Amino acid sequence: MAEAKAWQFQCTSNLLTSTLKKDQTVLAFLAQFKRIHENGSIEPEDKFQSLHQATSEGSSARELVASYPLSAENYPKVIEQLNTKLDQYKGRGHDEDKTEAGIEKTQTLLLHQRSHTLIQTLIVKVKGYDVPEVKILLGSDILARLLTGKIVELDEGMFAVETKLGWTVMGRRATSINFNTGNTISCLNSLDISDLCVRFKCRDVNVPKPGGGRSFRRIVNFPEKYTVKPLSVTNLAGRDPVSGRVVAKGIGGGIKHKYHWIDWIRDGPKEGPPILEEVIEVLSDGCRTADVALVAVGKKLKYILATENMKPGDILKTSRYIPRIPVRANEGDAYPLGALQIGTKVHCIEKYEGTGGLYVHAAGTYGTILRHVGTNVIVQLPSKQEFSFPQECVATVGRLSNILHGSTPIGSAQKNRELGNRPRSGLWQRKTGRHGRKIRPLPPLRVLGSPPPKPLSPISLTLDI
Amino acid sequence: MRVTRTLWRQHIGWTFKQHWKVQRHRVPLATGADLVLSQMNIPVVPAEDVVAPSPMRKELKFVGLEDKPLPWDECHPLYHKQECHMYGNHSVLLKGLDQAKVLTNTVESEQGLPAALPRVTASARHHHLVNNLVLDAEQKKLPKLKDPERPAFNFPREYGITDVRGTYAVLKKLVIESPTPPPLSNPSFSFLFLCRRLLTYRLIQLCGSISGSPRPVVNHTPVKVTLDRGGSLVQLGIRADQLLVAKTPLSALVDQYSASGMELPSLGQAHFTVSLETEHFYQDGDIYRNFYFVPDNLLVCCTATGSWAPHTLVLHGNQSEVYNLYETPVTEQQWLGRSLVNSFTVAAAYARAQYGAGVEDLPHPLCVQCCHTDGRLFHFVVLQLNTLGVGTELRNILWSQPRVALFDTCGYKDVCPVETQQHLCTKPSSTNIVLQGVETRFSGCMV
Repeated sequence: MAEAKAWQFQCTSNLLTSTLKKDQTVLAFLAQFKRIHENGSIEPEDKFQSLHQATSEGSSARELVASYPLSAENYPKVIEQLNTKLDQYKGRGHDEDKTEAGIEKTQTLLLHQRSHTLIQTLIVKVKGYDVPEVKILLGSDILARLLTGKIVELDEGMFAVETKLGWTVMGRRATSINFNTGNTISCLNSLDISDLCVRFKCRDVNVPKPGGGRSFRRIVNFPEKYTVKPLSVTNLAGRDPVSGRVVAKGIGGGIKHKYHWIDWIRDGPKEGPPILEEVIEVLSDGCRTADVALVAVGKKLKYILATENMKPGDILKTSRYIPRIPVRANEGDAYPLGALQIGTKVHCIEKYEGTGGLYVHAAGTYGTILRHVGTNVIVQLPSKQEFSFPQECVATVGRLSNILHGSTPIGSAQKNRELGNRPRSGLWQRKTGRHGRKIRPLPPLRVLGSPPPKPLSPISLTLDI
Repeated sequence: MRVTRTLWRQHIGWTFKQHWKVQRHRVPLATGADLVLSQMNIPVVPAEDVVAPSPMRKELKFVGLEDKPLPWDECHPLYHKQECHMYGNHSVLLKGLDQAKVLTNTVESEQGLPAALPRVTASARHHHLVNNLVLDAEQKKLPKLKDPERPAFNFPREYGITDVRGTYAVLKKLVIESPTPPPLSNPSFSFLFLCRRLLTYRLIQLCGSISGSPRPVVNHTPVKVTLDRGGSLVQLGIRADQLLVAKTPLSALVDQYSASGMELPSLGQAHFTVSLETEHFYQDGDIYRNFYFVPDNLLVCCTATGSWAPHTLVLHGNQSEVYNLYETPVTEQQWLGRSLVNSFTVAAAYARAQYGAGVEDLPHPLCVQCCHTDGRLFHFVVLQLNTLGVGTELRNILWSQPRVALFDTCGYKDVCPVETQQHLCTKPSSTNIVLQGVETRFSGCMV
């Protein structure tokens, strides 16, 4: 049965209810006896008699009443004794002013979802207020079904709500309310959200496989707009951010670094003289092996990958124009592959035009332009594999900085831990034929054309059984 | 394969569940219908919007709840279409003093501070420095120490006096001297010297004794000015740490047109607004407050209202408050540029308050002085504001000198509080100070 939690109350059991005859309600009895008790014209002896008749045989009330001889003098004593007994059950003082609220259970009709049982009425008493008797108490499970959905906003934070039983007013007011207003229903709904949530276990977890160019080392918290401020990073320690499960072993810990957001797109004019950019500073970045250069061009500051001999004060050129005669490019300049001479060392090569430098980012690496085939340019990447790029793809000239990185051993297990690599065991196995030097022919030339159409995202269906 | 009772009993539906895990992800076929339809100028609308349009919800207002904060979009009252380059209290310019000169249309006609002004010396008593920079009771967590050679090593966390407090402390204990009839014999001045007052209060006394007019000090007042510099909107909003104000501004030191046509420094490929953060949400306008003073036994009484002219700006520049956006240490040139831009802000705000928001060339140029310090290093600057415009021939004039140190080090050495100083004299204006140090820690102090 629903209980109002808004006010503190204490359930009291009226002593007289236990003595009631089955076909009489306490309310009726109280009403009846109150009239008798307060009626000045009736003799105390008669009042005593009616009290005696009201109590049922064998009950403690009958015993108490019977213990006093029937007389006018004993009547007030009996009443006093009965009240004392009542107070004992209540467990509180009889002073009504001190009690904050009291509820006397009487019989009423309580609508319950599954059973229409005659339980008991609630007479809610609140200090300082005159609360009318609650005739029907609706549980929160059926209240929702009675609402039709119409809500009208009233003054002072009150709302008129239409139910199938009629209009009612609900709301929370700062000021006090006069309850003597007839039929009012006020509901103070304090629905606990935890009651709604159901604990469930998801079995269909898609755990990705490591590899494929995706590392589970960190997530960079990119803001909406490009900024030169070093960005905060969430370290994943080899875990898939969606499912939280370990995907790649051996990753975790290490010195925490902030991420410098590199501007991969070196955009320049398609005709006319190239844009000039100035190198302000060359910094080392903990999230990559190559160094990073802070570059100022116009109103914008950005980061690019630093080349071998880059220093503060250098002027870099950027252009998207492909001239007839190849350009004599300096270190750090960005030109389309079709504008560069054969044999030029390049890095940060775009895969598709305008998408930003994708290939060759590691310290000390470079790609070499080998030959031109039609409108494509063939570049040999550090893995010795040859790629055929469209000539409009922009690449940066020069070899990347921090050349000694490749030839520097890590040195110790501690240093490896500082780099964020956890101990990896069981990786090398003898005689499986998997480990050791491989001699294989290079894969064939990979021709890159226009980007493929973006696939539609799959629709996930559910089967609600 | 037929699903018989036996087969079902065998796998209890597990196989179907495993199939469903894969088959539930259906990739729709791209028919290209929307492309064809759009070519025929037929609008394509998502089905959900037509079948079950989202109901219009009335926003209910509940008593006792706060209003929802306004979203930061184009309807926000502070949104402006034109972006504004913001210069704040923490800002430094990328190219330092050169960029500041281009931004404020200022040139340096001569090196050092103006020669025509009388000199004043100031010094710091050894024990006052030690008391305030070493023996102070403040114990707060200082920034973490990092060794670039050993990035993994965590140094023990140090507690001590913060740099902000150190700056205040040094300024409190600086002593002022003057070759003119010294106010030091004045008992009220020596009383001031003993009690904890700011440097600028002594400057007031000094200036007061020289010129006789009152120069109160305003602490931590915001000063803001929004300017259009060659099509770019720039807002300079600073906190004037201590601003010495006077009834009339300092008059121009040289002729207004003496430096007109002088070349501004070149910034290379960078624009003068580079490294200033841009914002679309800002409140444009200027702030230069009217200061109201109450009678103070130790201050010169001034209860008049109205616009007080800026006289000297004492600017605090601490590593903890001032930083580069890209988190590299602030360079020397960047500190110098900060003095110039902040002095310009104060002067420009006053000029706008006096002559209106549209003023370009000032009818009466004014001078503002600045003392930019971090407690140890002091940078003195005098700026003559001639114009607020750009692209004109007229230039503002700057006198500046390299930063000078009041002392070398002040800290614990072998568990003893030690402070080492060096002789440093500069030529200041009548209201600037010269720093002169004590030779050793055991010699007598000046004053």
